[in-house]
Amino acid sequence: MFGKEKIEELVNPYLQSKEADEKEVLFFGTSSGLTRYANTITHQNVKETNYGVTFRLILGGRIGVTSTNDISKEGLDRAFKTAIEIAKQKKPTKDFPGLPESKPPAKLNTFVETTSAAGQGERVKVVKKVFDLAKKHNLDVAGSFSSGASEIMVLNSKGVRAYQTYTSAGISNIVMHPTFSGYSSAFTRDITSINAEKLADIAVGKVLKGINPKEIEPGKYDVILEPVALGELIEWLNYIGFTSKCMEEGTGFMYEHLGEKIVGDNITIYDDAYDSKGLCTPFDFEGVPKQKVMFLENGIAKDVVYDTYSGKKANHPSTGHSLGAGGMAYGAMAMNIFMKPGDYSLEDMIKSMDRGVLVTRLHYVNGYLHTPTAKMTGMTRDGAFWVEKGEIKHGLKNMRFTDSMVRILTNVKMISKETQALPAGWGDTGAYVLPAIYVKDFEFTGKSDH
Amino acid sequence: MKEYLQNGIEYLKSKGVDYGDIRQVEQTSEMILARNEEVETLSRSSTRGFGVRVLKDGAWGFSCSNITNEGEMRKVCDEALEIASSSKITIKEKVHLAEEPTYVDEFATRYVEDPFDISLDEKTNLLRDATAVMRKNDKIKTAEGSMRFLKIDKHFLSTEGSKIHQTILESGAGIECTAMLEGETQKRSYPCSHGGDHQAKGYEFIRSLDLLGHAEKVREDALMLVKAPNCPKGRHDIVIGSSQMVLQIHESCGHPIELDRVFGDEISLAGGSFLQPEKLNKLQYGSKIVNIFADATIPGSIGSFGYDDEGVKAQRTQIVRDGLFINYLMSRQSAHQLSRIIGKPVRSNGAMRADGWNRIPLIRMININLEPRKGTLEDIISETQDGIYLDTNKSWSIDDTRINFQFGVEWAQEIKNGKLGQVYKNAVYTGITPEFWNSCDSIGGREGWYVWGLPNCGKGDPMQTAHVAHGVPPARFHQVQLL
Repeated sequence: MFGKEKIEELVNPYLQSKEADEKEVLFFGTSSGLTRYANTITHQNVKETNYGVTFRLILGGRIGVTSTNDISKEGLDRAFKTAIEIAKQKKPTKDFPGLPESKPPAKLNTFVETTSAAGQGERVKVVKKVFDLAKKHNLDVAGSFSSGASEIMVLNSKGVRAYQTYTSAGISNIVMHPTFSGYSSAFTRDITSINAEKLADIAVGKVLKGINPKEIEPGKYDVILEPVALGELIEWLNYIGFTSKCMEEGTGFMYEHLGEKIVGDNITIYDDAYDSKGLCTPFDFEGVPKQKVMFLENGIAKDVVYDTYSGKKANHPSTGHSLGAGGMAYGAMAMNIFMKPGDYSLEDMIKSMDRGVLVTRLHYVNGYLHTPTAKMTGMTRDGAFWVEKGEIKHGLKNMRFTDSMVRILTNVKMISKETQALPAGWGDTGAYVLPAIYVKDFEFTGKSDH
Repeated sequence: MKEYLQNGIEYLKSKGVDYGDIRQVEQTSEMILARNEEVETLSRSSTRGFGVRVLKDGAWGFSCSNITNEGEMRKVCDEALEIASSSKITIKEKVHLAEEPTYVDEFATRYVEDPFDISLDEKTNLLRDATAVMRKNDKIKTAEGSMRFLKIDKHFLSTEGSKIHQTILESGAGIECTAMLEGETQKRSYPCSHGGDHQAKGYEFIRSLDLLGHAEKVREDALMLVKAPNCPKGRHDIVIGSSQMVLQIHESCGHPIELDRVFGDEISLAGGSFLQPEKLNKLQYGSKIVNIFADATIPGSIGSFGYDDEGVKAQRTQIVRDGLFINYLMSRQSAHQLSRIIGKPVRSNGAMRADGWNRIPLIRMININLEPRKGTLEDIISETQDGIYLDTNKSWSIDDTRINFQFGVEWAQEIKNGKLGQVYKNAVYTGITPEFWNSCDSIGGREGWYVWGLPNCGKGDPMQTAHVAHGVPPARFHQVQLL
């Protein structure tokens, strides 16, 4: 890690420069490794170390942004000068409110030494345990196991000095028989909490239940979506419905519906960067402390996330969800999404199912079909099962669904009490924490041959 | 060639590696995005570093760093060797590479105007003006324009003796607007969706797009769409325009022919491929008029280069001939694996590409193209009695072996007795890859054949983005399911 003091020493000359009215520096450092496996061997094993600095400089309302990973004095001088030249040639950005004022973020413990120190050797030992169990059943394994550390610091000329170090470790396993596959995963800040044997058991167990899968015809079915499957849908719902951009452009499913009940009253979805069941993150990429934002509360559409620029345009304070200077045009983004769990165990939900499908995971979901209704499509993958009279009967070949998330979330019969933390696509700074849901009349519109 | 890179190669040779390569990559990019006459993003970024890939005792290791000096090179080499060593304990058999000549060479994109020398005023004014034209109707809620430019300078050295220096320049732009009416929103884009078209050319390419000249039509099309009825469902003959053919060929042809995917290397993320080796020279992938080829030598395309990131020379490979599936995209490792399966020597056809210095090369698409045949789009439409014309991608989804696909498009139009009629919105079509391609009964000619750049193809873990391209004409398919 570079360290807070060293970063300040590196960038202070630029923060004190008189060449710009306002100055912001985002420093990012990472050291990570990934062990990837296929056909039950580790076939791609990589390590990366990188640093980067982004300057956002404001001259009379004109904004210049540059990024560089050359953190030598010459490299930073060059990047700073380029940002000044860009700002000088740009027109003032209407509605830009200036850089945020300093507000101290919460003190959170987001760094675990054992995760940071873990290398290829440690990861391979964990992965070998998964291999060993799969081999006992003559099954193959594919997957990946990553671990690493990062540090982020945001500094600006208004006194913001937000610094944090992070670690994360994530593993996903696909265990395979020639006719069927099963999936398990874990995502955490603490690598020692990953229980390889338990994860291997889960994936192997799914495969053994699903060998020689059968087909069903497209149609409407009761479906249980396990947390990983729900995660794919929530990820898209985030992009097309919970961002400031969706509100501004009028394309999101909550646009002009705030305050209205638009989904079932058992649905509460929110962003909370302080809940330790996820990956806590105290501030955004402008250094603004994160706030809890309720998207849907008991089915009622409540709010979306904002950064300082989109917030000014919408007359809404920043909620601390900025993507940073380079992401101004994309608006704010939630990275720590939770769905309020329910009262049932997954086993109870399966036992209550008369006829239906249990879905482990979805693949290649796309949410652009019709964003005002959050209509999406995708495939099942790595563990779809036919359930009858409360029991898993056999595996199913993969099915395609095409359905509206608004309709899906209005037809949720049961929600599990257990939740799982899932990667949110934002590295160490976010996770989704989601339950399983039982959906009535979920629509499958096609099928595959495997 | 930089001395520390050569010293790194010598160090790897002294460690007795089976094979090693080092890539130093410097990238400068510029992004401009205007929305509703406001330039909201104008940023320039640069990144530089090197990556070391080693094959030792038959196992791979990779490490990289952004610090480009001698001391760091030694450290990174040692890290890569250590990773290879710990990978060894799980491998079943050693990795071998197909033979390949070594090259000492240079390659550079040809261009007329360096986009980084064009004034920011000129670029931002163009995008601002285009969004202003698109907004000349109060039903247009959002109008956007974007430009992206990329300059890459890379050095490649291998322990086998290759030393290759390449410089690549890319330019891309596009405009789009969203119309809103009574709770419905519809988007229309030019020249295509998802950020526009990208070519390995200079600013002259941006000028050739005439963004301002097309802004009014984009607006009027969006206004038409938002009032249009939904596209009828059911089975129809469909004529797919060139810009939607890009996604069709990308998802259902380009990805399943990546040989690493075929061998299961990508199962952990995007899945495998239905094009298993037993189907080579046997599977009737498409109708007899379907011919697909890969070609990294097409001038001015972002899928082209001089050498891939394993030092294999850019080349052309036929993938599908008269509908028969005959070849893959390969690396040196996968070519060797294939040669053992089919019992004859196979060489890599140069499809290994890495996203920057901090990623390993993977088999990626280059330019994957549908050979043109005959006629313009208008000719194909005039020969269609009853069908639907579909163009400009909106959504895309395909299963994990590339069999079941589904695409949504921005624009659909009825074809009746050879003429275009009613405009439709929300058109979505689905199919099974070989059934779909076997239903292809008309392919447009060279007049409508265009190489579209697609700069955001994702693959790998950690994720990488490849800049690929597809030369495609419009084409017609028989009785395809619309949802």
